[in-house]
Amino acid sequence: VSEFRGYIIRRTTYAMITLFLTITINFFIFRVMPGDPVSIMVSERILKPVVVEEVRAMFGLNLPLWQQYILYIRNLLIGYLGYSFHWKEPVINVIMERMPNTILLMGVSTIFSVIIGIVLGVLAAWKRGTKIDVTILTSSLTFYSLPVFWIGMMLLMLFGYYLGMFPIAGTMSRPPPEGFFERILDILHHMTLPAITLTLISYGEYTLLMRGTLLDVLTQDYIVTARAKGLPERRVLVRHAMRNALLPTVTAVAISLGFIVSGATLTETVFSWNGVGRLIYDAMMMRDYPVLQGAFLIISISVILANYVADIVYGILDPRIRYGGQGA
Amino acid sequence: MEVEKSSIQIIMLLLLIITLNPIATVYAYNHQPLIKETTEYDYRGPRCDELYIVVITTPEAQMLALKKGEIDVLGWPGVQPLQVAEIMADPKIHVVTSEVTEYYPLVFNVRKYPFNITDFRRAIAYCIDREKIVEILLLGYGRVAKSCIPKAHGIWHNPNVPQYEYNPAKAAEILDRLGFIDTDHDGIRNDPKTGRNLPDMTIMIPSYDPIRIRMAQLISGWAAEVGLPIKAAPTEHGTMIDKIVGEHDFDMCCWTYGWYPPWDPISLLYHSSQDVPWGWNDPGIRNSTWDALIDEILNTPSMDELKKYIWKFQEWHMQLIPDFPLFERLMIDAYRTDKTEGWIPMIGTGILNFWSYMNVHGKGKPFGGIVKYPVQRETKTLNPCKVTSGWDYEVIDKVYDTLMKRDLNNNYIPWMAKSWDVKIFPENKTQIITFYLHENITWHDGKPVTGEDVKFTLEYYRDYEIPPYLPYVSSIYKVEVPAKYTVKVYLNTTSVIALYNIGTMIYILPKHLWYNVTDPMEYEPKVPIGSGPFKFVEWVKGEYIKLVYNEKYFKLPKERIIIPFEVTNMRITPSKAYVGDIVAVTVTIKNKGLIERTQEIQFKVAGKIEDKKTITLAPGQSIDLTFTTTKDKAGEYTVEIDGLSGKVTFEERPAVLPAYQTIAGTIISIVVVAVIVYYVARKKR
Repeated sequence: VSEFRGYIIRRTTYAMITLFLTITINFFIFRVMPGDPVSIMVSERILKPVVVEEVRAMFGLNLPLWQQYILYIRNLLIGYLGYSFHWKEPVINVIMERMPNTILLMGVSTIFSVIIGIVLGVLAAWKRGTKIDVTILTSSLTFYSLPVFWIGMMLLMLFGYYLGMFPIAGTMSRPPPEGFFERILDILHHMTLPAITLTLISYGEYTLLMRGTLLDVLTQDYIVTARAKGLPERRVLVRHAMRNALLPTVTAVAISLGFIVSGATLTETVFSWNGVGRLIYDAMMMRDYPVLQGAFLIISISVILANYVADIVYGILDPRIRYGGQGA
Repeated sequence: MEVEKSSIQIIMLLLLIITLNPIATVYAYNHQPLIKETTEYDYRGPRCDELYIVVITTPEAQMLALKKGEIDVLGWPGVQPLQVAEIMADPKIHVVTSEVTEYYPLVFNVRKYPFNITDFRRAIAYCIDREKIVEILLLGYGRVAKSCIPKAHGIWHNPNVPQYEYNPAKAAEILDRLGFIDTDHDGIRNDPKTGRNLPDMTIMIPSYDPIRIRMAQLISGWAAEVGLPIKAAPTEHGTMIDKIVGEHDFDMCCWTYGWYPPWDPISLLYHSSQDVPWGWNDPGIRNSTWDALIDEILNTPSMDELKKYIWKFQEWHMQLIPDFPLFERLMIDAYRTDKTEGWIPMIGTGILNFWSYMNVHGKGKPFGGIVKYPVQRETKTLNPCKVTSGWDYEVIDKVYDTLMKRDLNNNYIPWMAKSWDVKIFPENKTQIITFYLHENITWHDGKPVTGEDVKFTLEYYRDYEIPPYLPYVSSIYKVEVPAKYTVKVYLNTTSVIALYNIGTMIYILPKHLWYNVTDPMEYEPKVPIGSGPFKFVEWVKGEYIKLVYNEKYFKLPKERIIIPFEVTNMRITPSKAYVGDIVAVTVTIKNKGLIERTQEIQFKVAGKIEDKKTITLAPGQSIDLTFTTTKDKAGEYTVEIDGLSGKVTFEERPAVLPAYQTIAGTIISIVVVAVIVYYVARKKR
């Protein structure tokens, strides 16, 4: 029990250190970029030069970097993510307004990617060397390597415009239909193409991982033993091979779940999906540091948390991992 | 092949002209206006019912949405030249081109050697074949920029300024004269100061714009022919701003310069005082004679002199060329013809302009309809104090209003102010502008717009130093409201420009809603209340903003002004009745408006609605409408139909005996009479 407690303390400490480093990097990385929010405003030439410095002071951008950093950390400690330079409202509001859309899109596409990826991965490994294997492998690799915006645009042109089956842009009709269920259906209708796009580009990852791991497992002694015992092939696959092969996939899924809050910048932009990904893109273009920091902080926490939970679960499932931290 | 290409382009252009909106100003492939018709526009509106500003983040998706009919129009950044043929193939889409007030200059960093040598800059100008750029890169949808004030600025554009036509021989001659000679014959000219090859000189262009990247590459090629090592340097937008505006660390760059009115770019781009980090003097030109001219522009009390100075400035600009005007792109817009009509292209802004929104309406009817137009990036505020980008004006410009407007030809016209007079006192460098407001303007909440609102707005922007408006109000030292609809603005400047800046740039705020807003840069109204042509309805963030037309807008088309039905000639039959009887109340109702309307007519008795009827009347049509009522209590009642009232009296019915009493009484009477008759008869006997 004490070993396990020590393991949890270690993991928690690592997670906290990672979080702190991420926060620090998040702060500095955007400030290393040329330009700041005010310079972007200057480029639009709406603000006259006489007021530029005033606006910069208003945003606190005239302070030395270290002072800005201390201010940022102090605000974080009291749970304040800051105030958006661009949207002129608290960062948490800006992000949370878009979060439901992102979780919906990313959640649905991640679930589909995982299911399709694992099923095809198992099938490919099971039918190794056959046309099925080659077809699955080729298609997975192809979609995995295609640029996401290209797939998105192709789907948009084919199903959105030429076949007219799906809307071109947005999260909902403008204006949305009356009625609760009609609205739900409307959102699902709008979500179809971006969800298919994300599924297409990401299922290959799970397919390849599952296939590779399963092929590895299938050559293990205990599989040979199971076959030698005369167990049916299906049982060998499902009960003996797949269970063991799923562990790396679970890790990949855990990390993916962490990224659910991050949105998909390119896909959301192509489909005008009002999510966190598009927010990050807009904030980047506007040099809206607080929003970028806030979004990346939430993403980091989510990923670190997902990994942390995965680590703990692993620790429970596999005692060898608990000792790994002690150099065993 | 080139001939074929040109022929196709000309055919396409002819098709484009045929399908054009009749009031479009169209410039053709040869950069000359083929059609310049101006249909009379009454500057009244809005004519549509609802306006949706929808977010579609990529130009590709916007194009698909237009073709599919999810949006009605495609404005800025508009249709790319390469897409014109494709979009024109759709019979339900019209393509319109209009002039813009912006141009693409090659900006020299004149703080830096050798760009600080005027002749060196001229030599580079002679290297550039601008006609080719327009032909190859813009496919003819543009023209060579002849001045720093483009032709679309109308009277402000000076057509007679020095030009630098493509002439590599002359460029070489100038460079030779300056001592930039290729002494080692390696194809690159040598620097007379060091004797070494000239270092690479870069043209910084935004990495998102393939046209400018290709343009810089073409310039690089032409420059190489005369031995100048010029390279294209595509750079991320934010980095460009930092390098050029903040750090002044560049050789040459290609921006977009262009906005209206013309004195703004002149005063800001070329004045020495602006040659500071984050100032607007990108080239870093410092010239005291120029500064004096700019000061004259900014202070002259005479419109004629203003024009003269601006023309003079353009001449000097082309002589000194701190930046070399390269080309002007034509704005190519498109709109669907199956659902809406009334789009008006405007010089300088294209099809998405104030007058288009005022005039557009559903197809086939004079008013009504829903109009949807896309934006790549949504507005971020509904507060006029917080605008910092062009996107922010999408709502502000429709919900709030200004004292003056620019018409389709960029002339200043009265708007909220029906007139004004200006008194300038050069001796003490002051002026008084008096605005006379229309008396029938109301805020969206129904309250009247008065001079107090204008006074409040000007002082509010000045006192709170609201960034977008501060330059226009900072010279105001006093505002008076001598009469309810008259405002006197006192300024410590003699500039004739002040009137136009205050008139067109200042969005008037409702005093009754803003007087207690003490944090204008934080405040975010949930529902902005302005006096503009559209009223705000809802904003689904990231999706759309819905506006509806202001049914009380002071500039509504006469036909659209809602005139309530005239109700006259009340007849009450009978005007006196017994309790329980039915009384009919009839009125004559007439539609005195200019359009067919439907209105609900209410019938009230003693102040309570008893009945209502909805009727539709054609213009001029009148009908008799009858309501009936009855009462079970005696008394005088007031009947009212849409404000017209009359009296009806109900009386108690006279007392009546029951039937059995009547019969009994009759019998008794008969018996009594009979008895009397009997006794009388007996007596006689």
